[in-house]
Amino acid sequence: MAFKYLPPANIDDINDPATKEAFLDDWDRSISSSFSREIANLPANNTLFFSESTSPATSGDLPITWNAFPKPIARDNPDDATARWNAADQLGSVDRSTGNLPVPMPCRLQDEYCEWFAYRDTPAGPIVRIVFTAEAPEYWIMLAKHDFDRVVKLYQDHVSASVQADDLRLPQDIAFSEDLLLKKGTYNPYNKWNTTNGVMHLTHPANTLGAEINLAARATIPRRDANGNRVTEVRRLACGSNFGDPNRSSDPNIGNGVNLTAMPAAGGSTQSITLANPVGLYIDRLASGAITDEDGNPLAGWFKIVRGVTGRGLMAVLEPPQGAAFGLDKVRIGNKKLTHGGQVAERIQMVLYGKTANLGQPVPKLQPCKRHCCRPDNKLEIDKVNLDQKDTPNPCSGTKPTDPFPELTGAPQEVAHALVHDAPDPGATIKRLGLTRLAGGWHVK
Amino acid sequence: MSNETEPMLDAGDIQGNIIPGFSRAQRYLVAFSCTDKPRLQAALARLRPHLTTMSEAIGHRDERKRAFLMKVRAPTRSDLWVNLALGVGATNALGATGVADMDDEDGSFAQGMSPGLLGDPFAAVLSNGLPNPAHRSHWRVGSPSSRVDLLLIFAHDENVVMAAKQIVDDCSRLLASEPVYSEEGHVLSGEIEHFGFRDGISQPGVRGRIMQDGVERLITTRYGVPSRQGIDFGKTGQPLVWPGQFLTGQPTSEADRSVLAPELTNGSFLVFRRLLQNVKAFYEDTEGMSRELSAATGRPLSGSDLRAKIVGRYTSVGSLMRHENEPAQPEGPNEINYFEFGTELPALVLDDGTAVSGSAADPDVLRGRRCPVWAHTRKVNPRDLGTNRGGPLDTISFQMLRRGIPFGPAYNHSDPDNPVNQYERGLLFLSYQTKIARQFSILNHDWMNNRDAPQAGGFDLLVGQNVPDDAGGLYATKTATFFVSSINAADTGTGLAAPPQWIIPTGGAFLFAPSLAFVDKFSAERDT
Repeated sequence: MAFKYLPPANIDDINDPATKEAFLDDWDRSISSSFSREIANLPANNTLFFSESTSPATSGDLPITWNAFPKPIARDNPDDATARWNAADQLGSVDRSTGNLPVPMPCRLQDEYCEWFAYRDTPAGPIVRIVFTAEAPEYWIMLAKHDFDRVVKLYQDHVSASVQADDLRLPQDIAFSEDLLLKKGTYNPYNKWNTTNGVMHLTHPANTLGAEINLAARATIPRRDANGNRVTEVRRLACGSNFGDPNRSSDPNIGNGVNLTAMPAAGGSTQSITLANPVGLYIDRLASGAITDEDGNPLAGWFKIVRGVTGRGLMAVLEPPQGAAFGLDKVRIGNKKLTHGGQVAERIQMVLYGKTANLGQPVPKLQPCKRHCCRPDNKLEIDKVNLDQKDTPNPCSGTKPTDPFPELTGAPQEVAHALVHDAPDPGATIKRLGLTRLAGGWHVK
Repeated sequence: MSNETEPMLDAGDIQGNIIPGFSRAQRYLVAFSCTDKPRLQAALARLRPHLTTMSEAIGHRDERKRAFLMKVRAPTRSDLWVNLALGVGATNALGATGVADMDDEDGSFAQGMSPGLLGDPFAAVLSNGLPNPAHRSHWRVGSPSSRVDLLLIFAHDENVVMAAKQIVDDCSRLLASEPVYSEEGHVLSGEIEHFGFRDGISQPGVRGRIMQDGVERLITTRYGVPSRQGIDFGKTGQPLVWPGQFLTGQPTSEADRSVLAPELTNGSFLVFRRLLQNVKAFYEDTEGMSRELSAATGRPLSGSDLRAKIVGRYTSVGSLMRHENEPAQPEGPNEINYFEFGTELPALVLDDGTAVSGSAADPDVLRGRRCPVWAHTRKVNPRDLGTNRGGPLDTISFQMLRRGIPFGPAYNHSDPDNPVNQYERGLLFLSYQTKIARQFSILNHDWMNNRDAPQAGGFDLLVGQNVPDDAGGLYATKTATFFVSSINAADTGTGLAAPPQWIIPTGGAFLFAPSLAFVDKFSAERDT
């Protein structure tokens, strides 16, 4: 049987067999082409990233985990938990313009591939339910293309019975990404039931499956600093490479794991690496004992995966189980009363899965760093500050040199002529779309 | 980084078990329950003249270091050392309500130990109907009936209980209550814990300067270990961190200018855990597990091999990252901690001319073929690796100052029926930090008790606890994936399961070890 990429967690949302078959074919084509595009953009003789469309993986799943709470926001609010949780609940906006006029669309600032929404019966009332999602927008865009009615029904089941089909349609054309135009009247990934009024899937512009595949592919490129030394430290690698965001828990850890697995610092044989099928970003687990009653006794059955499966959770819900004697207003997280979704997110573990194979690929040549980072002008230690990632040779602005890792790129001119061939950078896309990094996440300009 | 930027600490204001730690042969822990302000004040006044400071303990460390360099036995001392720590009931009773505010947002100190914070079992009764000794209601110390409001930590080289008797008796009289708990700890021969491994090897070094005997000096000696990836070192494998990670009111970075009231400065939150170790089960189970693994993988693996993998070190102290097999000769102090997991370390020469050999990197670091991802030492300190919570600097920021000591007699392996083997034995775990949730809890609950963090692939089989929310509050089996040392693309690993549980908590408390200025402020007139 021919290999096919399956939907995340192999979720089975479509009932009609013919529609399902067409959807699954389309999904496979879409993911396969993302892999092909990323592989084609890797430097010559540096092909440790592969797709199972062309070669089977032979290993078991190789999980890489990270914490769900946005680390950039945590860095900006190190000693004020309430400020941190409030900041994570704010909406930003992303410009999805197709032309010259901006088209701001609402999105969350939760950038660790996990987003959440706390439902209340009244605006100032207690939280009655918190929903967490790790579902990529690409899935919902394609599902709506094949079965819009099913999308409406899923929204009604998981978000609100009040959802109407027209609520989910775009009022105008938008550019979802560089190569994906969504027409007026089609599915709106930024609809109110997925932003201001609820959550169904990821909205942060970097929280996409495309970004995951891009990150994994680019992370297979081993980098050297300006002195020729292999770059292995997580944040340096993220700064010097052309993947992800060096400030998150997720991207640097994923990239570092992929990088050291594909080409160990110990030398010796390489391993080809891919993202396990079904490709997805998943909710792994909530820490045991995280949710307790007022006496500190852990509560079982309150946090449930409602889409996906254990270890590959797409949507999770925290709510009182049937027959519970009390609601979330009596629940505590780490000795604190539950008031924000972020309290729970801080105890949620996310995961993606890689796989490896020995495809006999040569040991790739170390590539020079093609990006670098700039740090704020203060004396905080580097792990306590958020960095700006810049293409070389763009200098760090400010009165003093503020590149925290100057050894990565050395003199700008040395790096400028040694850039490897790379695809468009998703970060640049984000910037073009109107988000810019201020303290604590992506904000609209 | 220039040493001049490091803060000057008052070594006469800081309790010595925080920095540099009590390196004495014996410890004696005595706990009282009392929240009566005048009585607590009187007890503090009685204790105040006896409190052993950082300055005194560093003087002793210097003696030991000199003896080591001269290759002679460190001299024994006859003086009694004393430190203390207070529970939230005591700090509140004394009017020091600001103490609880210094802990982090989880409010661990204020709320006390609970299964949700620790990952401990929350069922008070075992499935066979017997009381669950790991449940807080049955703890030897720290249970509702043995609440710790005042913990005394005595240290001595020869007869700690006798040496401490007068002070304990006086405290009992002043507090109008007998101790709710007392227990001796002893350094075991070879400085091992009861499973046979050296404990406390890898510790962070504290930045800062002190005046000692009229001379300004660094708290942590710099031996000329080159900085790596922005991390400075004292000894090999000893990253330097700012004192605010362990002492309240001290800076957490060069830029940190925050200050606290003098009485709140130079304290530290103390996590105390009485960990009961089942030596017989550890050895028997690991022998059985190793036989199963040998059969499953087709490669011989002895019980001692597996135990070394569970710990991450051999009983001869050497790290698995430095040796593929137990080294014939024990390594020196500069080698034992010189390794990382994902990166090779080069050979180096220290300032005094000592040559230190380099160490290897794991050839398949996410699977852990050289040192398993579930090895205890990798679980709690993954060093250079990325983790679910960031990079190496984040990992360093979670580290604590560990001051544990074994209790109970050594297990007699040559005579399993020896009556001595019936005694309880384990570790009096003591760790100092300024943020319980961001240090102890991350290492304990997010990493040791988690199959898939800091890297995925197994629980900490040694110390971790697996108490899933849906298992009735009891221990469940801890699982891990074992990979043989050579890379084979078709190798999906071999599952192994550790029966619960070789180590269980049987006591403990979240406490605050105050400065001497605190004791001065909150004690009554000195009791004579």
